[in-house]
Amino acid sequence: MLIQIINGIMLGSLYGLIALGYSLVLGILRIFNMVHAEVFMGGAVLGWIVMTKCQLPFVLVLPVVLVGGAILGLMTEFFCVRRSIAVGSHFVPIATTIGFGLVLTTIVSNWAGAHPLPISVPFQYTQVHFGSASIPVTNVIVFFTSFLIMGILAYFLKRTELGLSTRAVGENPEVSQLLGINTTRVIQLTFMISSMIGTLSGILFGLMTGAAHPYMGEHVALKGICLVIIGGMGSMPGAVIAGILGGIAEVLTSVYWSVKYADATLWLIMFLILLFRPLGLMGKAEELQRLQ
Amino acid sequence: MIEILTTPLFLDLLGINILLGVSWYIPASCGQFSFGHCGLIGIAAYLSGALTTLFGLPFPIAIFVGIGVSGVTGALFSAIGLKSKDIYAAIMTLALAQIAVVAFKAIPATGGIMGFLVTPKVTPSIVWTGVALCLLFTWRLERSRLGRTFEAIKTSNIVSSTLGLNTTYYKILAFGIGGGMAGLAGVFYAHCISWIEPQTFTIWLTVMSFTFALVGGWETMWGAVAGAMFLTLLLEAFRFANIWRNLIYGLLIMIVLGFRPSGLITRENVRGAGKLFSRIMTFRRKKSGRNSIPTR
Repeated sequence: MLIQIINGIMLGSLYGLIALGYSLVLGILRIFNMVHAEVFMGGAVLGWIVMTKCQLPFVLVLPVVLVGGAILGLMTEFFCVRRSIAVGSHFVPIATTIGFGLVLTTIVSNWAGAHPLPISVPFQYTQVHFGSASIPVTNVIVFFTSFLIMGILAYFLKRTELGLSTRAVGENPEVSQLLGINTTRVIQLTFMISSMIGTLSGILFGLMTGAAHPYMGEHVALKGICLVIIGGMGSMPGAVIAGILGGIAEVLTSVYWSVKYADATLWLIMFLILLFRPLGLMGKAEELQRLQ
Repeated sequence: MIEILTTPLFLDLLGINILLGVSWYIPASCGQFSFGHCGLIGIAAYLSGALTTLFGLPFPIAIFVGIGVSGVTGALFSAIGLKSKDIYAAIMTLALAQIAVVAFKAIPATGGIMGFLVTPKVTPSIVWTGVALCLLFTWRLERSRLGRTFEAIKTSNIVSSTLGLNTTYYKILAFGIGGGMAGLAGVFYAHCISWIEPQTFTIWLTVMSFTFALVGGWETMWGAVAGAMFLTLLLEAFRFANIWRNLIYGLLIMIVLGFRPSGLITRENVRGAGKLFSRIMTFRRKKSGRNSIPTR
């Protein structure tokens, strides 16, 4: 039981990271960035290219994944979002980002093959002993990296000037433009950071499971949307807490009930949460009001 | 090429695709985005397939059960999402799509992940009767008070609620009607392909149906119809592209919505076509000399 809960927390910290990627774009533009799932897949595939295909050292993964994420984010902003947010309807950006995701998935699955792509690192089978339980060292890395990234993001948003201007654009784009903030740059920056978080979480998931897959975005990363809603719209601590609780719930379902139902657990939890608490765990009513 | 276009299977699939496009268009005409069409189609396909094949019930009963269950499911899921906000309804339908696939895989009676064989019952005439009835229904709906209410809600949620409209009720209704139509498409699909498996009803089926409606145009139902016909033929023409066809789909969505956010056929186009049509008709009448309006 203890080891399952620990596994759940490790998986959940990663889910929290994915949810933060969605929540960042949602907080500033009020749209769901559906391509985030494929950016997540792209991160894991970049890791596979660096480590298995080109046999480069492990250290190179980090810069490659970060640069790849930044480029994907800028492409998303330029091709899918810039023109369509002007329409003012929430479903044009959803459709264009899904279209971009379809393009990315097709390219990867046709180029690399629609089968698991192995990611091997030297310390893959090392275990860490924690009381009576032994945990793979990759899971520990995932856990600490996730919290490190969350900490950096929180510092960026709360303390730096750029982070403050990001939050100001999220509050009110017109007024912040009047105050001299370049909203286009801020939106680009948000997409870059969100996609970098997406690719990082992708490679962390790849380390955890030892494989990348062209369709992993659809199966894993879409759950980030559901965690944002469980945690509450616009609440970053809510997303992280929802991620951890969701990870534990999913691991316990697959162990004590059946692996078959694990993929539906989070969506059923979201169903129940919205039924009894439409704001989510830590959501605020005014955040909901600002949505279209 | 022409031989392919006249096979019964192609005609069936063309009709089903038109149904998919129009069924997605109905919630969209009320300003609602639906991710759940794959789930709704799947529920109707599985249920009707099980009724006709495993229980031996007649096909018309299966049609009504499919339409009813899909419509109610769509309305139920959207209603829970609409307790919060419009976009939550879209995410609830995404949940429906995800839960449905897991459920289809887990039910042993319908073959689990392998899928199961349904007795084929559908001919092109049945499908096209269904399509014609649905188009007639949607055409009347657009011109009725209900259709105008949907239009008002799509244009402005706040204004229509200040006019005393219960917007949540109408949105749920739109999801219900669209879900029912998606259910009809699912029943036809199951009895035309005659092999249904969970992998068919993943999110890509929804992507297909909203591509029809969005690329064709989501201001009038003719956009969805034309989009479905155009894309079905286009994809048939691009059959040589094989594994790259999804790429064409994705690029089409991005390009069309990037340059023409309301789709290829907008309301002005339909109005223009209508005017042109009536002008041609009056011209003919003048020429034949009957019923011509006396000129001063």
